[in-house]
Amino acid sequence: MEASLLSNSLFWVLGSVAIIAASVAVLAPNPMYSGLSLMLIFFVLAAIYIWMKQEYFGAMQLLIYVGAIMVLFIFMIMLLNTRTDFEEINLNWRWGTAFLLSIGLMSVLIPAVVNFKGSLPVLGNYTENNIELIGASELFAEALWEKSILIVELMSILLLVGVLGAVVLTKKNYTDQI
Amino acid sequence: MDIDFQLAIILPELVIAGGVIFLSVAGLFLRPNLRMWVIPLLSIAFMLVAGAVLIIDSTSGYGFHKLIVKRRELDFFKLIILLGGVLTTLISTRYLQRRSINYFEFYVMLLAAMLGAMIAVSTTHFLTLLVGIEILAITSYVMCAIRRYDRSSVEAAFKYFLLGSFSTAFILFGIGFMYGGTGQLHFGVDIFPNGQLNNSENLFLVIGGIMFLGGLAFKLAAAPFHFWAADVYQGAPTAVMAFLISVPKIVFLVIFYNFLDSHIKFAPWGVFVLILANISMLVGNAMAFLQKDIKRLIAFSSVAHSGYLLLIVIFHRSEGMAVLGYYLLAYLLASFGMLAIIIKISADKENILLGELKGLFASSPRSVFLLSFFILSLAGIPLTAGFFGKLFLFYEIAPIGGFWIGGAMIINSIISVGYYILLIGHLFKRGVFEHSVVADSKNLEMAYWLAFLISVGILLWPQVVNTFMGFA
Repeated sequence: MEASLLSNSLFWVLGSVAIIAASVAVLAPNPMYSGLSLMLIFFVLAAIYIWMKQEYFGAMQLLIYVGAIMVLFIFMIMLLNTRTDFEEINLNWRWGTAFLLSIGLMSVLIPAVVNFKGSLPVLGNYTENNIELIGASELFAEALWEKSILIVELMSILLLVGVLGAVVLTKKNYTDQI
Repeated sequence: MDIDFQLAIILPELVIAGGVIFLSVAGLFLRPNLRMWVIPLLSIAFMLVAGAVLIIDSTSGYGFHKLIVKRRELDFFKLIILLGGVLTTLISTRYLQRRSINYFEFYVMLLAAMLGAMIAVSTTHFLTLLVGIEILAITSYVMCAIRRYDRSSVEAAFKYFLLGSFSTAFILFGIGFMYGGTGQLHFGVDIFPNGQLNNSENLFLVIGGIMFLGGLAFKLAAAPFHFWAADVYQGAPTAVMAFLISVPKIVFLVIFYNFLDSHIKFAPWGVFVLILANISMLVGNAMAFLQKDIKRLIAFSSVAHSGYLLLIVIFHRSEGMAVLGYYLLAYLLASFGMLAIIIKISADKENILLGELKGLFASSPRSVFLLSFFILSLAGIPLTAGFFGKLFLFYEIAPIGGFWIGGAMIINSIISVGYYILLIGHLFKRGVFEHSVVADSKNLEMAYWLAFLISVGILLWPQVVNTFMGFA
């Protein structure tokens, strides 16, 4: 699958769109453009997932990131953007630091990708063959609800705690103390 | 379908999780004057039941498709965590009333933090670990911000929240790289095939490991990732600070230990942790001299303690876990005792400066005696539990780490004695103590006497940790 991944022209088209959109998201002076191009990245990622036969992840990417998170982001930007004081901040030294940091990260990551020799072990049922045969979504559901059921249950406690905390900290006039 | 349910393995965690759900609902239905004592009492009861289960059930093994591991050594750390929870509840009850922040959700948050801490300690799987860390972290943010009408407290909580999320992102990024490099989410000693993680050719593993350990160091407040610690601890409510400097420290040191135990020969990670340990000892001890606020002083001394304990994560023999356990127990008791006394002597003001401690001996000699005892225990003066902790630590690291590592630890603990003695000197200064002392809190007294008694207990019987962990 990996060999076909790199030789396929669709991958290169989608990948370059994602990179251009990411640069726009970082460089655009208007946060609205940043938000919209971030949305484009999520669309492209969803397309790549679906093209790799991971329909479930593609659908989730669209539903959760584009549908919920990005729309929230853009609402927030629109709420805040009534005052246009974004461009007043002088970001020069931050640009420098960010540039150095990303150069440093790239200088480690590119050799890591180029020199990567080992082949990853295929674990469990999630093989290419089974994906053809059973379907990626079914296999993912099996992994999630059988192998990782404990993590799912713990996530529910995490969400419960998060909701409780948000209520305690933000409820107005919470004087009903014990 | 093969669901690997072994509920017996996570019985203590189940008790705590049941407590979280039960108390969060029960608190809504109880009348306020009933809630005042029922909720803390029930939450202590849940912790005691979980602790009793931990003591009785001495089995070991994996459960839930190896997402959870139960070992006797890890059980001991879970017991210390629960002890920390009980002590936090005891010192919080009257404190929260006095500061009029007595929401019952505080105790629910504390119980949930116990759950997250216990899960994070007892796993060798990255995702379970991450969820455990997040439960602990989110509850800590909420507890830290519980004085929500106080600007400095909210600022501290916000700083903690932002930097904590940042470090979680680092941990997650590191996990992603390591998964990409190995195709494995397990990192356990006896699960992971030998040598696969010791591959320094695999650059993904190096980057991922450093990011993961860096994120953990952020959470542990090990220098140079300690910048948030003093500000957050200073702004947090004192009762919450007692929790924050002890329980997360236990959790993250055990994670460090679990993660590095089998792969310590992998040079880049070992060197990274060694640098962290040395910088933490130096920076913590040096900065503690400069502090005027007693809570900031304790914060920097806790950074130095992280440094000592990171040494044992790198240099240890087979019983390193027992030494870590003894030291952490002594440290937890000393910090809780100390902060309980500080709550007692700061009834009307949240943050006390060192100069304001004058005349304390005349107005409350018993507090001064206990506070000195706990400070000496943190400093590691002979005839305290902290001394035995440092002694065992030295015996453990010196034969393996060699002259320089042992020497660095000794020199740093000698430096640290300086500011602890200065602190004790402030307690005995003549003058008039201007703050009022809490006199009406039986729970607070119970907390510091409990810490004192257990400190003396492990001083007289230091083998208790070895015996519990089965090293004997």
